[in-house]
Amino acid sequence: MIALLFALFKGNITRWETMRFFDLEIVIIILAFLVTYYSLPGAGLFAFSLGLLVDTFSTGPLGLLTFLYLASFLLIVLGSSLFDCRALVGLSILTFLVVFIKDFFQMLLLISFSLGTPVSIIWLLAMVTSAMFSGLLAPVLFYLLKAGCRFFLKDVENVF
Amino acid sequence: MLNIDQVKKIGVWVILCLVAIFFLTANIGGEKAWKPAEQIVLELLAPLQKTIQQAVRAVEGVWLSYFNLVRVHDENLRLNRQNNALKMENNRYRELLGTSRRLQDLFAFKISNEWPKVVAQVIGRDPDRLFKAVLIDKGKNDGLKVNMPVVNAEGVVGRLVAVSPNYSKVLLVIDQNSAVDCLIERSRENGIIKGLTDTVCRLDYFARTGDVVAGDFIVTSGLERIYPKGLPVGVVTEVLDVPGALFKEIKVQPVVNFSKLEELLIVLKEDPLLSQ
Repeated sequence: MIALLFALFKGNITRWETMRFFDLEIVIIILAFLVTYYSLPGAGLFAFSLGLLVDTFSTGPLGLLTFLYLASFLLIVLGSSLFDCRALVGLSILTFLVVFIKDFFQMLLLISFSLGTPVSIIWLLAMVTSAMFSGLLAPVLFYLLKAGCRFFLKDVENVF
Repeated sequence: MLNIDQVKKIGVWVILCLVAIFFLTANIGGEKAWKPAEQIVLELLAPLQKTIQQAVRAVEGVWLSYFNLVRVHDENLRLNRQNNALKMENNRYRELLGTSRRLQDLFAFKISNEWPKVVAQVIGRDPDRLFKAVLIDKGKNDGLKVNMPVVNAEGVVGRLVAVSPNYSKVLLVIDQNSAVDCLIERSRENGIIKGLTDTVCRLDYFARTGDVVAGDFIVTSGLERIYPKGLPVGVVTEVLDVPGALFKEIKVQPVVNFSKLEELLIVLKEDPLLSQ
């Protein structure tokens, strides 16, 4: 629900060009949270369904963001064996890498399908800064999500 | 060696990816119109989007009204309304002045101003920063159809690419997938405006021998039958002659401020090719 609300809200923020440098990829962070503390199939289904929903609102081809979120899910699963998502540094680095690779992969897909992507230094810089911003805020969001889950789902306290 | 559970998990992930790739390849280059299932999802979620948009505007309103100079803000709103009305009038007079030399163009422009219009509010924006579209609160029930042009007081905003009973998606002219057939108002030479960034478009397929300079005004040509003729699109900011290239490289600043879209006008002009 949080991811859906943020996906609907995000467009209102990124209409200002400056905010594109601080584009928070909350869906990736929630995916990492679900992979770390919940089941993998659940996280995969979450990535798939949210991707389809966002594709409906987006002008991009249907399936693009679905595929990207699934690819991000795979990256998080593979990355969690290298970086400890329960540690601040590991979580930040993993989030940064996943967001950056997802954006880079999206750019490659769009170029491959000749959908026209305005690649420029500023756009690449926005990609890097938004990945850094997401990486830096990931631990904070993890803490908030854990606190929220403890409050609303008291029967899963033992998970943490 | 993988056990059954791991194989199942990988299998589920592979199947979901294949489904996503199927959607992607099936929809590349195809119609961006919403399928029935998408329309249902949109009808359910669009009110939530609208609520979020209203909340954002409310916060913006509080900030502008109480943390800025209230009187200056009110005067600014009044002057903006007056300016918009004057811009519309000025655009019309500019086109009349330019086409008064040729009675046929004047006739076409007068027809374009007679199309009925529907006012819509922007209730959401594309969640992906690479694509540029907005969601509006009017749909089929208001007479809207795919490919209808969308404008505001400043000029051309885009066209409808997907319509559901109560909501529609507008592809903005600054999107890289948008293409608008245009004319240089002064020299009447053709080109196609394509989106580049939020504040810059490019004019493609403009011959190297063509007459264009920075400061030239660009209007719709009406040739692709989507946009009425003579609507303002942008102003030329940069013209480059690349040696050996067939076309000039021309940068255009759109006349519309796409970061501040609130109310839009949908011109109820049907695409004759779609209605056949």
